[in-house]
Amino acid sequence: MIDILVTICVAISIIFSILGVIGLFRFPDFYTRIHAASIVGSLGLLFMGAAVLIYAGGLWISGDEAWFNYGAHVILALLVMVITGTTSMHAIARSAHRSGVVPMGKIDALKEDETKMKQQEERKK
Amino acid sequence: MNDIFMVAAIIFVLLIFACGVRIWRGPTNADRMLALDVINILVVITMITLSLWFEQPVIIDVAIVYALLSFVGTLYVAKVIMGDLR
Repeated sequence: MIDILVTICVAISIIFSILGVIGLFRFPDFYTRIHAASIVGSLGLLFMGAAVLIYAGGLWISGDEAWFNYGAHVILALLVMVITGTTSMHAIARSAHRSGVVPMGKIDALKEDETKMKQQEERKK
Repeated sequence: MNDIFMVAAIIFVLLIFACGVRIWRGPTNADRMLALDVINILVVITMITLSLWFEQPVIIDVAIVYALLSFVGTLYVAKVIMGDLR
């Protein structure tokens, strides 16, 4: 039973990682490639962590002492990756926008919003 | 049970090489940095898979340290691309 659950979680992780890398190649624009790259960081990593947690649960049921090593370390690794993955994706998108990467549709809504916000701040002053 | 983890690790390593192609021919520098970040995440996933394959939980600790160091590297390269550092 636990073998089947671990196999299903590993298979889901592999499928989402392959989909993310395919999207990294097939999407036409930088800002759409970020979506595909985030799939690998969220679903691929979380399902692999879930597989390790289920494996540790199987070790706990069978009375092995190594389950605490797997469980605690994987929870710490998932916490670190959830925080740093989202932050690094935000930093990449921000630096690309500041360095002048143009979206595919030639419509940069963020730049228009920034000009509007600057005008509103000037009115308040 | 171990065969599944072996196949998963091999597939993740092949995906890392596929991301290397995107680094090689990326149109802008931001694309290269994005592919490098995906490679870092895939290395962490591969290390967790290897810890299941060899049944050694120590490799997960290596994955945690690698994740933190790659995060610092990604932020530094982001500042370089943005133009703050010359």
